[in-house]
Amino acid sequence: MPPILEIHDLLVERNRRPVLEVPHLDVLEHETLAVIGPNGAGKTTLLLALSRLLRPARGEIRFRGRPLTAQGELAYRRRLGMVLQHPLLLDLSVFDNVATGLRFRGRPAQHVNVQVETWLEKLGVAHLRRRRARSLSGGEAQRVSLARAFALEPDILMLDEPFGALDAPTRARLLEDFHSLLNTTHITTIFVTHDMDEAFLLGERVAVLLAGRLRQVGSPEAVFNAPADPDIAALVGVETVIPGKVTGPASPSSEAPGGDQLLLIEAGQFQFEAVGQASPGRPVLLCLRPEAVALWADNAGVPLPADQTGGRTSIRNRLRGTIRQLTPQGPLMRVVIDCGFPVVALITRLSAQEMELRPGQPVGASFKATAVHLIPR
Amino acid sequence: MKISARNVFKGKIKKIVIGAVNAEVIVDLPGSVEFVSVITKESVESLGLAVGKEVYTVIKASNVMIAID
Repeated sequence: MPPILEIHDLLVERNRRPVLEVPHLDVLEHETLAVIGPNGAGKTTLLLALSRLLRPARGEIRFRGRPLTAQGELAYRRRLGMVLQHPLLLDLSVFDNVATGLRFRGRPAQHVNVQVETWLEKLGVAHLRRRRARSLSGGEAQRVSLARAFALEPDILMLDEPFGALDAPTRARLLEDFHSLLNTTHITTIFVTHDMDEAFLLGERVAVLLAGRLRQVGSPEAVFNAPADPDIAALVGVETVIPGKVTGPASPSSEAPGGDQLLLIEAGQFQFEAVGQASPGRPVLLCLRPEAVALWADNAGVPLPADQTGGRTSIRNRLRGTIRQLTPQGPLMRVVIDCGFPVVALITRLSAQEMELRPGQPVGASFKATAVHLIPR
Repeated sequence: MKISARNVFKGKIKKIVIGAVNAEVIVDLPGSVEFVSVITKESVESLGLAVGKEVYTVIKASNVMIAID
């Protein structure tokens, strides 16, 4: 299936300075594309350019194979549904807010009624139909705003941090409902967020914008586990980055021509093993997500890791260190361990309690060779 | 408890499929439950893993996904 949107060589300037550069990006029919990046990375600018609310200095955007500039602006914009972080509702009833866009498009009253009722119902706000929009809570207003966008049956739904202003429980419920609506409608969606959990949950593909430039596009697994460079790694939560050098394959038997190998990596006095592709002598960054690190109580003299099985494990990387910091993160505990360099682990709070982890305590940290992602330096 | 991983199950190796770099180890657990582990070929060798051997599967809580019907 051809892409519904194709972006080529896009440059957007503000005061003659580049604020967004996208060499190439396709948006595929029926996909949910999550666009992630920190504040000021150009995410909103991208949505504005794609919805023709901003004129690019250079480049081309094609909608269903035809350049946007060769299509009527209004006709194109009516193919889009927009939802912003702070819902822009008219000072009308909830029903009329959802109905207005359909009426503008000249839809018959019967159709308008059916669409409005259907989507108020699906977003769980049908009981609010007669309420004034300004009397709604943040979560309710965002549900109405989503109902309005869905009711238009747009070709592309564009959302700009739609859950960013909501409290955690409201956000979680709306996120769940929205996710199931995307799964049933299969509407093409471009979803801008700086929340990595939202991107991982909703995105079938993830596009990374950093400092106004598109830096990586791929599956959530590829972007979150195999970020293309250290900046993206930092953005997606890869907290342990160790500079090292590939010394060679771990054993002659692990040589698989053209594919991944079990590699030995030297980092100062340490040696690690990682599954990846790099030739001997190559300087690399060894990247590790905190969820991939397991901690072991460090009993002096006992070879690590010695677990309750009393045996050895398949884990190929073991380090000893001292706990520097423990920070609760919801049900999890973020543990920073000084192993000569900082290693960050994310474990459950329950485990931290049971292991009686305290700052200053010696501890073992271990991670699988397959959990390591290598970035060439 | 000495390890932070919250899920430790004892089972018996049912099958080992050796690949170029990694190996897939299938572990039978009581109650017809099967766990699949991907570890390096080197670990299969260093632990002397073989079909029928009793092993423990160790899974971090953050790696367990939940699905509903």
